[in-house]
Formats: sequence, C-alpha cells, structure tokens
Amino acid sequence: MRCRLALAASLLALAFVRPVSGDGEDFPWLTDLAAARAEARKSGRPMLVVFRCET
Amino acid sequence: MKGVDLNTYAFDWDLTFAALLMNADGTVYHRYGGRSWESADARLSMDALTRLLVDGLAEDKAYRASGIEREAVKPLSIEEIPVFAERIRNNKELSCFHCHMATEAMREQAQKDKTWSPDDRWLWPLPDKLGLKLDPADPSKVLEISEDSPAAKAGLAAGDRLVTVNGARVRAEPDVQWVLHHTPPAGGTIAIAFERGGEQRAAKIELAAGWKSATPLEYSWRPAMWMLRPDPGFGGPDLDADEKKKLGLDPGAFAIRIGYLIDWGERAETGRSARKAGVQKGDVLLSVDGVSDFRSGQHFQTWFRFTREAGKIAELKLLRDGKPVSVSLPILK
Repeated sequence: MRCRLALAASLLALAFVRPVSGDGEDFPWLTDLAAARAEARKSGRPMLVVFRCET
Repeated sequence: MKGVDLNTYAFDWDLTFAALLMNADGTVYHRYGGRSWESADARLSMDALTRLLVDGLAEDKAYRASGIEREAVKPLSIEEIPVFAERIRNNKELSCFHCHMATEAMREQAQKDKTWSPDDRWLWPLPDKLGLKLDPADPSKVLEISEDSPAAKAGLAAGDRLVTVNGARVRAEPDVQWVLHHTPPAGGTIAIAFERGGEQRAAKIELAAGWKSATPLEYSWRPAMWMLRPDPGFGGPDLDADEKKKLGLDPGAFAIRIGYLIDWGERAETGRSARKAGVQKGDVLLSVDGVSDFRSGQHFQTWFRFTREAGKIAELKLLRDGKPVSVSLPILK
C-alpha cells in the first residue's frame, strides 16, 4: 500500500477564509508543525492543521 | 507522522484528509474530515470547511477572552509506541510514517499488552450509527433520519439543526464522531441540543449494547482493516464491466481477479496455504461460502476478517480460464 503524506498548518485570519486563486502561493502554509505552533503563539492567531494521506 | 503528538492532534488517522482547527496551546476547537465506504471524499465539502473556519474564528476569539487554560496532556508520538519503536530499529529504511500507521501501532501495542478487545476496532463512528444523516455541505443540519433508529426514537427529524452533542458544539461531522468515539460499545445516553423552527429543543439518544459495531461494508475503507485476522492470503483488483461481460457475469456481480498470493512477511504462510489448496494467480473469485453480495474486493476482504474463523474451511467458487473451479481453503490463524 502506497501512501503519500503531507502536513501543513496555516495561521488563520478572516482575510484568509476565502477561496485561494491560482496555485495558492499567496496562502501562508507552513510545513513545520512546531514552527507553525510557535508562530501561532507569537501572533495570537488560531491554526488550521491539515494531514493528508492517500491510501 | 514523525514527531506528531497523537494526544494533542487526536483524530481518525485512517482518513485521507484530516484537519484540526485549533490554537497554539493545543486546544482543538473542531476537527474536519470524513470518509465512508462510498468514497474517500463523500463526507467532504468546501462550503462546510469555509463555514467552519469563519465560525471557528469567532469561537477562538471567545475562547481567548474566557481566560480558560488548557489542561496539560502528556505527549505521545508514534516513535514512542514500543512496538513501532522496535519496527524502526529493525527497519532502517522505514522513514515515512503514514497516518494510518498510528492507528495500527496503537492497536498492535494494545494487543501485545493484552488490553485490546475486538470492540476496539470501532473507531470514530459516523452519525449514521445513530440513524442521523447530516448534510455534507452544512453538517449541523439533519438531512435524514433512519426509521426506528436511536435518533428517530429520540424524536429528531429531518431539517433539525444540531447545536451541541454532550455539550460539545456541532459545526462539523467529526464533532459528533468525537463524542461517539468516546462512548463505550456497551451503550450510553447522548444528550442533544437542537433547533427546530427557531425553537431550542433537547433530546436524549439511547444507545444499546453493541451499538458501535460496524458492518464489513461500513468498515471496508479503513486501511486498518488489512491488519485484522484471519485473512484469505490472497487478493486482487475488482473486475471492470468489460471483463465481467466477457466472462458472462452480471455487471453488478462481485468478481475479483486474484493478482497476488501473499508470499512475503509474517503472513507468507497464508499465501502458501491458499496456493496449496488450489488457488492460482489469475483466477476470478466469485463467492466464498455461498456469499457473493460484496460491493468490492475490500468489502470481501473485510467480511472475511470479520466473519470467518481460523481453523475452519472456506469454500471458494472461482473461474479459471472461464470455467468454474471449487477450492476448499483452510483458514489460518
């Protein structure tokens, strides 16, 4: 069974809750969970943590 | 899953898409994601996710204003589960830890510690178990109620909007699943607050012993299924409509082409046994013990694991070069 995993975390602000145009490069996804959590702590913003696994 | 704290990011690790709306202290407001035997994304909707994010921001603001502090939870990563740590030591090439491996490692550890029971298979039950079908695009809204179901007996109806389940706010299907996941298989009472025609109402759903059990079809999509025993020792893809037509089979009939007999790893004996019994690669499997109403090969594989007993014989009906063949398959432990 092959599986591809990607993990991404994004800090949320109201402006980001909208469809993303193009390839989403303007959308601040982080792939390091600890870094995202540290950034969320610093900024006081909530996070959306996404785990993606294809099985 | 390397280094991911399974206690903080607790979710159904068999999903293909699992999202947690949370804050930096580890408080999870809501989870989003879902899957069923129908398809990997049958329970997903961009509208629902967008609504969840907008509503979740308000919830985050209220949480921060409340001054509540999250209780500390002891972290647990997949690498810290002893059976998995041993696997890493024995397999230096194992570098990518897939989500479903977390479910499997926890089960293996519990089996080793003799704390596992077959009821522990029932993970993250869908609201369907209560007889509740929620709207994928607007998940707090009830689309349908199954007749004579626990939800119907509690007085819920299509069009109702769930507000809380056991006190937890419902904004996504996993909010209900979280409560069900933590309700024992022996049964219990689920407190529902809901809205109907602008009025706030309450209901109690009574769950009888055994409520949590999934049918083989309901369970068939889970990667964790493959680790359950006993297994037939072989498998392969479903035949497509053209292949079935060529063999004179009904388009809706169950048929898989045996593409492999297990000849690797700890289960190699099952494949050898199937071969010895007469199963050949390329055979088409039509039924087992007279049962053929499987929706897919995965459904058959799950049914076999749930219902067949080690030490007994399974009678297989096969086609080989278009001709019927019968095989008596010993079921290994």
